[in-house]
Amino acid sequence: MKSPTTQNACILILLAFALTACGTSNTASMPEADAGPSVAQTGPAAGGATAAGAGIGATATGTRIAGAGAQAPAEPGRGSSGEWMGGPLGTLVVYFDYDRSAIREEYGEILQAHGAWLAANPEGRLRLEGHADERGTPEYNLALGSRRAQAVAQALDALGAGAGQWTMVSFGEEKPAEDGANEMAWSKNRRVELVYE
Amino acid sequence: MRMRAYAERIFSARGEECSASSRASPATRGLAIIGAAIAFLPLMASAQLDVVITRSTQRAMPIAVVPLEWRVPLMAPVDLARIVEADLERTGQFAPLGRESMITRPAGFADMRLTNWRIMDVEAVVMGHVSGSEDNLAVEIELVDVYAGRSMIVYRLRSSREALRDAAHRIADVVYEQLTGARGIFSTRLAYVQVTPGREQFRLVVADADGRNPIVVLRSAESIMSPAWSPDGSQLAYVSFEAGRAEVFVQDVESGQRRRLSEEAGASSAPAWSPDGELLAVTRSSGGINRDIYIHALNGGPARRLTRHPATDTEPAFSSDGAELYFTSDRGVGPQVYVVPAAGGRARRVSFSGAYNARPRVQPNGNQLAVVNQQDGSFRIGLLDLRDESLRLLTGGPLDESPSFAPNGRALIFGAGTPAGRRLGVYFIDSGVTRLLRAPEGVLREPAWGPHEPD
Repeated sequence: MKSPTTQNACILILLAFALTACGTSNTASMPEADAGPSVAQTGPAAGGATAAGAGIGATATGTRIAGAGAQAPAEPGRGSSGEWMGGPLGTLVVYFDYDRSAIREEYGEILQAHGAWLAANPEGRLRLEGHADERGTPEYNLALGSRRAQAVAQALDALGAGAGQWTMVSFGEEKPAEDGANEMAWSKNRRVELVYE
Repeated sequence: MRMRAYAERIFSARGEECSASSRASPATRGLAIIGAAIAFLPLMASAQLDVVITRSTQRAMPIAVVPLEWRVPLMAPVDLARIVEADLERTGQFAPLGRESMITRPAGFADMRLTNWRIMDVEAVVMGHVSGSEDNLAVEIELVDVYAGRSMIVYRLRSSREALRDAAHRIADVVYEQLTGARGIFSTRLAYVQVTPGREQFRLVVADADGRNPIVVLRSAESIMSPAWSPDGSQLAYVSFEAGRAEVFVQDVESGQRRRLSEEAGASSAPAWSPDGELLAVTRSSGGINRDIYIHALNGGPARRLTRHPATDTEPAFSSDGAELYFTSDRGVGPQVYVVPAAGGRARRVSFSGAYNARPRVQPNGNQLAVVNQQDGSFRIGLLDLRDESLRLLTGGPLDESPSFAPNGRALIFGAGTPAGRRLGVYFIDSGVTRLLRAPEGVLREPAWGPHEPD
C-alpha cells in the first residue's frame, strides 16, 4: 500500500479513510476527485482573487472525500474497518472500446457483484460517472459518457439493483484519468467510474 | 510588436482556392464617417497569444500600408499602420510591402506619385494621418487603387489614445471590404476556453480577433465547455460543470451577470442561439439518459422538445434564416449531420462522406457547413457543401475540433489538435492559409467567433 502521499488533500482528509483512499490509487481505478460544487468567479475578474469555494484540496489530486467521519464503510469491497478487500467488488472502473458504450464481456462478473451488493444493501448509493477519451467533439463525447453510464446502470438494474440506488453524470472528455494523446491514455479514459456515496 | 510570426509548417492544409479573391470593383462609397470610438476597458489581461504562420501565401495582393503621419504632439502609443498591415496579412490574401522598400511616405492621394508604387508592383496603398487633441484623435485614412489611379475611399474616425488598436482594426475592416467585397472581421471578438495548471484552472476568455487583449470572463475549478455568442455579441451561453454536471448558463459579457438557463432537472449542454437571439437550442438528457434537442425561449416559458429519438442528438446549430437546425446524431451508424425544421418534423441526413461527421456550423452568407470529420483515425475540419453534399477537408488534424465561422463566412476558427499540442487555428477560406494562436500557458479549446459589431 502506498503511504499517504504528500498531497495536501490526503493530509487534510485524514482518518482511516485517508489511508484507504490513497491506497487504492495504485490500482488505477481510483475515482476522479469529487470536487464539491464550486462557486465560479464571474464577471470581470476583479483583481484575480478567487474565493475558496471548492472542497478543500479535493480537486485533481486523485483522492476522494468519502464523508469524513463516516463509521461503516459505505462502499462494497471494504472490510469492517475500511480496509480494501479487492475482488470483483474492488473494481470500480469499467473501461470501454472506442466510440462504444457496450459493456465488455470481462466486466460481467464484476457488475454482477456490484448488482448483488446493491440488491443486498438497499441503502447503498452509487454514482456512475461516464467519461470519454479526447478524440471527437466535446459535446458528442459528453453524450457518449452518458451512454456508457447508462449501459452500466442498465446492467446493474438487470442484476437486481433498485433504480433509486444510482445516479448518473457524464463528464465527456473533460476529466481524463490519464493525460496523453495515445491509445494507452485513451483506453484509460473511456470509462465509467463507480463511485459509492 | 509582441506578435511574432514565423514559419512553422505543421499543417499541410490544402488550398485549392489559393488566389486572393479578385478585387471588387471600386465601390463608390464616398465618405464614411464614424463617430467616437467606444470606450475600451481592458478588464484583465491574462495571456497574449502568439500567432504562428503555418503556410506561406501563394497568391496575395501586393499592397502597401504607409505609416500614418502623426500630427499630434505626444508620441503615438501604437503603430496604427502596423496593426492594419498585420490584420490584412494574416488573411493570406495580402502581401504588404516592407517599409524599407517605400520610397516615399505620402499621407494622402494628393501627395502621392503613382509611378513610385507601380514600380514596386503595389496594387493598393493605404495611407493617412492622425490629428486632433490627445483625448480626441482624428484619424483619416485614404485607400488608393494604384493601377486605376484613383482614390477608392476616404475614411475618418475619432478615437481616444486607449482605443487606437480598435481604430486600427476598423480601418483594416474598411480596407478589406473595399478590396475583397467581403466585410472585414478584424473588429470582432473571440471566445475560447483556456485550461491552465492549478486551481480554478478553467477560464472562459474573450479576446480581440487577433488574439490580443484577452479578458477572463469566468473562472472555475470545473470544466467550461461550448461557448456560443449571442447574435448581438452581448452575451455568451456556455456549459459549466460547477454544480457537478453539465448545465447551460447565459452571461452578459460586459457586466458579468449570469444565470442558469433552466432549473429543470437533467443535464443540458451544446447551446446554440437562433439568429434573432430569442431562442436557445440545447441538448438535454431526458430522464438522465437519452439526449435530444430542446428549444428554450430566452424570455421564459417551457422548453419545446425538437427531436425525439433513442439515439444521441446533440450539437444543434440554427440555419442562417432560423428555419432549420442542423445537428449531430448517431441514429445511423456513427455520428452524422442531420437537419430538422425548427418547428419540428422529420430529420434528414445531410452528411454522407466518411463514417464520422459531427458538430455542424452554418456558414454565414454561404452554402456550406463546417464539420468535424474523422477518417483513418484523424479528426479534421471539413467544409460540407449543402448543394452537392461534397466534403473538402481543410486542416491537418489529428485531433481538430470545434469549428466556428467568422461572421463574414470567409474564415473559421477551430480547436487545433496538432502533434505539437492543442492550439487554436484560424483557417482563411480564400487563401487556404492557416494561422495558429497559442497561449504562453495552458491549453486553448473550443473557440467561438463573435458576430460583427452592430452598425
